[in-house]
Amino acid sequence: MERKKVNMDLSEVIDAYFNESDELLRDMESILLRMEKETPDSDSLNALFRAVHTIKGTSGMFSFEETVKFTHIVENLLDDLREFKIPFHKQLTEILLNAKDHLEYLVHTEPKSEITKDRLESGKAILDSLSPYLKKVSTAEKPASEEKSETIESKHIPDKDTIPYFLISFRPNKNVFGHGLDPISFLTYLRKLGEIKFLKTITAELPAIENYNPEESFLGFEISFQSESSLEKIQKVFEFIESDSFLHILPPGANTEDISYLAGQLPEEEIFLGNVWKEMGILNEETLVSYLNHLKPESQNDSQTKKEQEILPNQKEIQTQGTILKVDSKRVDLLINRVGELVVSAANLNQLVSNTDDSNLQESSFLVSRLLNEVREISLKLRMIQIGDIFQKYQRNVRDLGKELKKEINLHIVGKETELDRNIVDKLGDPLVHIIRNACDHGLETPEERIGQGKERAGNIWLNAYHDTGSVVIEIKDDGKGIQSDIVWKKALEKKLVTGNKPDNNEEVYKLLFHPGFSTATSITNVSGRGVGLDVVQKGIEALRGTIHIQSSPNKGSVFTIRLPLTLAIIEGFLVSVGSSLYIIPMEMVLECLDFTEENSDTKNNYFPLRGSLIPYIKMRDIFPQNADYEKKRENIVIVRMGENKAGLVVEQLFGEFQTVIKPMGNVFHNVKGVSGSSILADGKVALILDLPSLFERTVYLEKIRAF
Amino acid sequence: MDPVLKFREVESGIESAWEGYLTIPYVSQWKEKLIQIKTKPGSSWNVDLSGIQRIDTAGIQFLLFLKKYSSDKNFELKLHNHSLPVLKIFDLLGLVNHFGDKVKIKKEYANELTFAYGTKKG
Repeated sequence: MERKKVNMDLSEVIDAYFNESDELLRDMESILLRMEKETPDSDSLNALFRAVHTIKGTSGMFSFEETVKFTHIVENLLDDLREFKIPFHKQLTEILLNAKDHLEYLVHTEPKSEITKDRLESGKAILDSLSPYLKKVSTAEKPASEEKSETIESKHIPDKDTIPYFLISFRPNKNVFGHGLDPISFLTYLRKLGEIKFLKTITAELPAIENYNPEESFLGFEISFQSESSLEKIQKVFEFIESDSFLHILPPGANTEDISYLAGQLPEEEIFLGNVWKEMGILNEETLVSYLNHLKPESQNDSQTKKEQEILPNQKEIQTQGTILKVDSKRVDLLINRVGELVVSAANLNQLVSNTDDSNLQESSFLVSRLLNEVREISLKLRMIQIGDIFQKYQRNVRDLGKELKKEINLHIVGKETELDRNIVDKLGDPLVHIIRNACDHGLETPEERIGQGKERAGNIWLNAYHDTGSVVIEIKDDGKGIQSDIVWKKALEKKLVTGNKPDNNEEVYKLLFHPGFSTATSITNVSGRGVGLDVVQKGIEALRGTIHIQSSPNKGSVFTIRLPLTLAIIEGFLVSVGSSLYIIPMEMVLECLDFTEENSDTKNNYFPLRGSLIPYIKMRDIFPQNADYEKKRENIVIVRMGENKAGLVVEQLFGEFQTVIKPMGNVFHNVKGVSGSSILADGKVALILDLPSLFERTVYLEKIRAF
Repeated sequence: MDPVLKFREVESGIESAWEGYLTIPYVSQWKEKLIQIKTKPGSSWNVDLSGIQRIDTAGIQFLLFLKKYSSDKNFELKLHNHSLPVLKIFDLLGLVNHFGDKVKIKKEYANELTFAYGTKKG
């Protein structure tokens, strides 16, 4: 979203406001999306409240009156939710998501004069849809005599699965006796406000004799309570003991979701509680079944939750380690550039020092190099961010797309904690959105189609990120119908992109999807057309020195695999030369180096025998012809890894491992294939950084043309 | 009021009468006394509660613990002659059925108790 320009004095402050609000809105969205699947805990509700409260506060500083007005009402509702004054209903998440979107618009559009009439109206509509829930709160605040007619049968409470009375869950703290408090006296007092319909004493926590300390409290109480009083009044009964206890009061009309949420907060097992509530008359047979069904999906998701929990503690740990300092990313980039130059200068210095006999100087120079390496590592990490931050926003995309396409889609995110250079992450957004939209629209089937094929109703998309030998791999996988290679080939024939028979290797066929304007979709929907725009995706990934591959199986789904360098700035390289030219091969691709002679290889077909297998190779001299003045030296072959395959690169001299700062190529060289950047060496010479995937692709392509 | 525990061994097990307050300041003493009483598996322990003048959450928890203890140690705990303070708490907490004893209610207590739940009558 484009940000408004404001006068210069405020620009820095308002930038901070935008950044902070964006971050809070992002958090808000991810909590709300989670709330669609599981009942929120108090931490989530508090976080939602805080987000809106903070935005209200800061927008007030700029007199953004519309934002303040809007947030005020949303904040009220969230406050009541977190205080359990109103029960949580799933319907609220949809409204709150709309509220979040509107808030995002307001944050970036204020002052009021800039807000369109349509938007003002849609904001009002959102607040209107919140009002029934707010009304319910105000009802609770009315005197007891007035509320009678409204509270219990509020029409906004979802129909039949609701509880008839207040449900009070009361678990005094273990140390409550020591504080001079007697829980029974609070229960006796409660009777003054209404009728205890049922009180169940929970003895499940009562220990065996060896752990039984008679001065500690182990009892709990579940109470169904009929009363004309408001929730607040009932809460006041427990005012003095509340801080020493777990107290949760569900008002009449709370539904099975609220009860399930409550069950999650209590120490006893959910099934046990279900039986207790049934005995108490809180749940009848029908609502008990509904309650138990409501529990089921959670147990099915156990493994997923466990997985998430495995990740979450780490994140929490990170968040609590010291305070987070926000720094302008331009400053970090500047620092990394300077460190990069320092690395080159230090290498130069090292070379000069190595020519002297001064051992003190050599030692100092060695120490400087070592420290510099550490500084380099640290400064590079400054720019690394967890990829989960960008993945998270796709939850919303997928949710909205699912609704639009009338499909049920689950997005699973794996490897959120994988770190990647911020600059890469920023540019990765668009290609990922494109692939995900494609997967939702054309990859996944409709629920009916899926059931017809014996699959579960809801389709799945997995976003998976992990590190692999100096690269980051991002997989976008779906369990949809897969890409039909026959149709792709047929389309390519029609478009005269190919001739002849379809190759056996489907991956070759899928590459055609990256051709500009290529689409197999019979009708192009609003969302996407499989193939449309994939050329743009490929260009985007290549601009990041990455590669993209497609694998697909009929009826099983497709996997788009994106492989990216860890960082754009500094790479570990392997320096080689051919004639007078120097080249750098990314170190993570280098497997081994061997002697190369015409006798020990198949020069006709360009194959090199390596321990019983034949490795295709290319000769650098063929690709980058050298001045005849430079005599050909003894040749070496560098065996490199290309995804899962091996290939060879025939060069002349090997200089070994080398840390290098990448300087991007100017626009003039934009179309040069096989080179991703350049680097200035310690002695001032320029080395080209090789982009091996495109180098090999180009060679294969040229071979094909020649053969043709 | 300090608790008093009287007990004697009979053929079927133990008979005892408790008197005084079964409240937080005294529950530890009750426990100490309990440990000294040797109960045999299969025997029964009849407890006369008519002397209990006051009982609070800690006291009721103690009775509940005793019930659990009897089941763990395989002897039978029988509570009888419940005093009014005990009955009132049993009524409030729906515990009559939990102990499974026959509860005799004196006529003069009837107006003060409801047993609306927890007796499977409610």
